[in-house]
Amino acid sequence: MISEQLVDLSRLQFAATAMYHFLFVPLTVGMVWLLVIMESVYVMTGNVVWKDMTRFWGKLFGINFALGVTTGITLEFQFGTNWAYYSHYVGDIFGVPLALEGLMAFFLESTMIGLFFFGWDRLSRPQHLLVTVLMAVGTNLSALWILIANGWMQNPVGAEFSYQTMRMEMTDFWAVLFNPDAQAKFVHTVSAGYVTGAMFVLSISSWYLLKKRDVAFAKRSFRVAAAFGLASALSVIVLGDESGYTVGEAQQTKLAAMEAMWETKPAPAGLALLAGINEAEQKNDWEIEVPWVMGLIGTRSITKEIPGIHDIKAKNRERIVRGMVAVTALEALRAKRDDAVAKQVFEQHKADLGFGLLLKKYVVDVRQATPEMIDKAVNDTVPRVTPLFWGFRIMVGLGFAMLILFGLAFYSTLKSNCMEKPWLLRAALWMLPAPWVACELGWFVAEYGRQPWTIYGVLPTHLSVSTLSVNSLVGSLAGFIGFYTVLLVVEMFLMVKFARLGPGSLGTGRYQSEGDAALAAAHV
Amino acid sequence: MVFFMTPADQRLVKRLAWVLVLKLVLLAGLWWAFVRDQRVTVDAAGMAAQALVPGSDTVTGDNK
Repeated sequence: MISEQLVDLSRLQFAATAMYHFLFVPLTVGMVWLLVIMESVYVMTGNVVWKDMTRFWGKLFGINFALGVTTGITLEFQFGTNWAYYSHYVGDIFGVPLALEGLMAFFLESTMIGLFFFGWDRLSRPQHLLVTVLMAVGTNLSALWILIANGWMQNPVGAEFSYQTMRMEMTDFWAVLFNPDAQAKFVHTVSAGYVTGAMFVLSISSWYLLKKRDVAFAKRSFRVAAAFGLASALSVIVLGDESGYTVGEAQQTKLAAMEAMWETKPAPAGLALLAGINEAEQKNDWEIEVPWVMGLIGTRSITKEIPGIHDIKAKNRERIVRGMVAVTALEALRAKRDDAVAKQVFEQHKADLGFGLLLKKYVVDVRQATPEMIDKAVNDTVPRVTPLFWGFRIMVGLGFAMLILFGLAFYSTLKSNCMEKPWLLRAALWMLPAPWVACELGWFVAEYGRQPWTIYGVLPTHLSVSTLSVNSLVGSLAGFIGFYTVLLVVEMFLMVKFARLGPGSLGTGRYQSEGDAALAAAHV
Repeated sequence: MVFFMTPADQRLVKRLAWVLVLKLVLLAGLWWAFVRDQRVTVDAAGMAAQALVPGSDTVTGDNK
């Protein structure tokens, strides 16, 4: 059996590198559209301040892109190095969107980024704007393909297991492409990126306004960020609701754990706003409930029930028992391909094969599984409730806080009085980390909530890892953490430095911070 | 590659280029130190050995 230490270390390494990678992604995905908006205004009006805005915010965008690039590649390599069994089992499906991401999106994005930075004096205004738009399209296409891959891990449609090749094989590409889970995740995730980009511009512009530096430049940036941020924050909340609905359809276990729903409640179920979770006794000691809301989000109806954790576990127990039959039939088929009886039994039970494989964590031969082992496997089917419940609520709370902030900021720009509200500018400055925290928590809820599966209902995590040595994993994990920490420090240093320099760093002679910027640049 | 770049911008481009090179070197170093000798090859038989009872997979042939 695979050692739990190996599984945990492999998971930790992937989680650490993925969460680090996602520090860069949302800012890239979001800021690129702000650049499109700013440059479009420049092309339409010819007002050079909009060009300066595009160039200045583009510079910060470029720093983020340069520091972030290659951090995603390590994730793709890990599928081969640390998750070799996973890659064999689902590579036929999972590999397609990843390959398309590289070929279609990443190359487009990278090429256009080069043209964006070095094409200002070689392309006409409309040509350069087209480059910026294509850069944005490439960036968002990249997110689309990655989220199609991830959506399939959450809701594996359009594929079937082959006992001959011992892997999942694609049966319907279009079902994978238009997987409702992937579509909901895509729009929710890119909207979260737009919020991140808007918050970044809003916060730094607020700092300039508080310092009364380059006010005309900062006010315009503040206005664009407030409007874009308000629309994005509304989108991320509405599309998050859609994401909750698709989770309810495809992954009832995750939904029940996120909502600490131990028992099936009569429809329409209420939403536990806050709760005292008692995992040992599998109940909530207390809860503040909002009636109907959970039922409406999870089922879009007032009559459908959302199953609670206890009922889900009872169903999963039945699936594990049927899965044991599927595993046994598969073994017979692997020993003798033309065993017609085994084939018939396998076809009848193969939908539960993954559940039978959950027992491999406790016993080599699943036929020898004891009732205690089955109990353990049943308990494994539900992830820990407390981190999911609170992770989800902090993410949602931050989402609403940002919506209010963008709403106030937008209103103040309509009234042209943001300079008279230093409290609003300070709030915008202090809210800078909020979208990153929300994004990381969102991924935590999505991925931790899928446990114990790498592919929901199909492939357990403990069967997905490569049989590496623990020492090599500890060494590479320590290397990644050290290396990525240094990169993060460099990123923060460069971002803070160029944000402090402000538009004066463009050297156009049009900004009051010009002298400071030249002086500072001479000393770096 | 330095068309109309301020000195600060030129320094920034140099720094980013160095960071990129350093990243690639360090990643290659990590792979060299910890991954290179840890190759895990998986085929149908290997997957069966991982997921089923070892030894139950007795079929040989193209799709083993």
